[in-house]
Amino acid sequence: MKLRVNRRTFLGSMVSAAASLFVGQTAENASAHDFTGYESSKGVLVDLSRCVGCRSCEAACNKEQGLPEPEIGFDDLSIFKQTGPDGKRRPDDKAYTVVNAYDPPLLDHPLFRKIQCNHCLEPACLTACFVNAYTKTPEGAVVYNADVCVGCRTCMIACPFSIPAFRYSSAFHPRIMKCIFCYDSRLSKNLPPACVEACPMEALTFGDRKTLLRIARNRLREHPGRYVQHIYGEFEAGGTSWLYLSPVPFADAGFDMHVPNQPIINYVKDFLAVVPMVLTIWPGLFAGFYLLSRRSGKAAIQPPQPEDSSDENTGR
Amino acid sequence: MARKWISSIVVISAGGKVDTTIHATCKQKWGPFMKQVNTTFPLSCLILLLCLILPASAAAGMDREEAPDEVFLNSFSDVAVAFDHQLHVSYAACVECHHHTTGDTPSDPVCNSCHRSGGEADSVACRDCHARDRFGHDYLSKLNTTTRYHIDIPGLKGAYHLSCMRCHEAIGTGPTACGDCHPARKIQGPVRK
Ligand code: SF4
Ligand code: SF4
Repeated sequence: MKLRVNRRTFLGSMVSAAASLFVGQTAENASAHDFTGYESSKGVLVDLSRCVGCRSCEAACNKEQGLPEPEIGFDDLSIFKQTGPDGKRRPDDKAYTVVNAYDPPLLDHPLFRKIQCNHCLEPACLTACFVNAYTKTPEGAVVYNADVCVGCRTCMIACPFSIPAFRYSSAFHPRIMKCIFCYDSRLSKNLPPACVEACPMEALTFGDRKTLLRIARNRLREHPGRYVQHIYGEFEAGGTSWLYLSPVPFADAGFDMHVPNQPIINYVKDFLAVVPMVLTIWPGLFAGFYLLSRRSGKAAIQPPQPEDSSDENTGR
Repeated sequence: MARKWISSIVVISAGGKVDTTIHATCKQKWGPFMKQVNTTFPLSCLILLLCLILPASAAAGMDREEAPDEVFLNSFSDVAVAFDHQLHVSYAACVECHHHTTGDTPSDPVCNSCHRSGGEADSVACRDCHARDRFGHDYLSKLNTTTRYHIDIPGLKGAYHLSCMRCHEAIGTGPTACGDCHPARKIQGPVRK
């Protein structure tokens, strides 16, 4: 028997397919809502009160990741006077991490802050990428696969910390450049990233994220005068693998205090749920419309006429 | 355990004190108690004496005079950093750098809750507590236990830098730039100035 699909059953099945997609998505989100990271997730605790701005971490990162030689050497501290487009230097395709100097009113010396990917527990870059170029590994690293990347740069816009950078030098091999927590060479072997090992002040402490939170709380309790009572990254953006302690209000050290505590995906999940529907259903849906219009043309039944294309069909 | 021991000593020595001060005036009111105290009087006296003597000797800690004049910090490089120990002994208390290991009462009240009267440690050298191999398996597994309080001991390099630079910055004197201590270092900084 030949299966006959008429317009009503076809559209009906489309609607139910779309509905089930929405329902599936919602159920998944509900279960993912309380995700607090992988059990064994590693992290780094950055103690800004310890950092002296020596840039050893920048130099170590450059070497480990095989990045190009910088124009201004790592021992040249005039770099702190340099400004980027938004006032301070930012990680880019030639440097996965940069150290910036700030002048908080509460301190009589500059405050230095290292910037790199925070390796979010629920990364916005990952959820925004529609070819799944990003992976959050059980060790906590957010890594990127250049082989599948199509260079759309949605991740750059999605990241609440503006971390992913685009390498413009090659038009045919799109490539996002960002800190990968030294995943290939170190983290996957349970070794600390190169920057942590290089830091002479132990401003960077590597360990299980859970242990780092205990350490951070200990520091806040034992030296209440040394820090503001906040661990940046414990909840920001749904929690990040890199955590920060600061002697001054975080806003004075250039931190974005408007990053919400909800993972970014919670704000865009309704939209994102539509994306697979658009990608998977629309081609079929419109192919179906097309086939129906042809079949109904043969059967001398008037096809459904979209309002804005009525004049094209007037000849029938 | 240590805390129990301390509190029991305090109780016993208090008993001894009661006896000596209120003996004549409140004998009736304290009668039953006195009897009890009196039976333990010689013993409590002895313990009181010990209590007074022991912490006194412990509080004296190590002998400053025996401290080394100069220490060469060479765990990380053949180019040792020469540390004028005698200079520092002349104006800083041992506990400022050695925490509780010299047997003195630590200056940090946080340490005091446990290490007030811990006695001298087997070693006072930085490297015997702060691991040179900060990321070695042994050190990490030692720190990363749920029952341990000290999970945040910096490695040797971190301990040196934190200890020296925090103090030099706080008192506004002493070397803070890399090249001041490491002549071979390329970065000559005025770091954080
Ligand atoms: S900081 Fe940005 S690039 Fe890094 S994991 Fe989070 S969203 Fe992705
Ligand atoms: S190596 Fe450590 S102290 Fe030096 S700039 Fe980097 S985080 Fe700061």
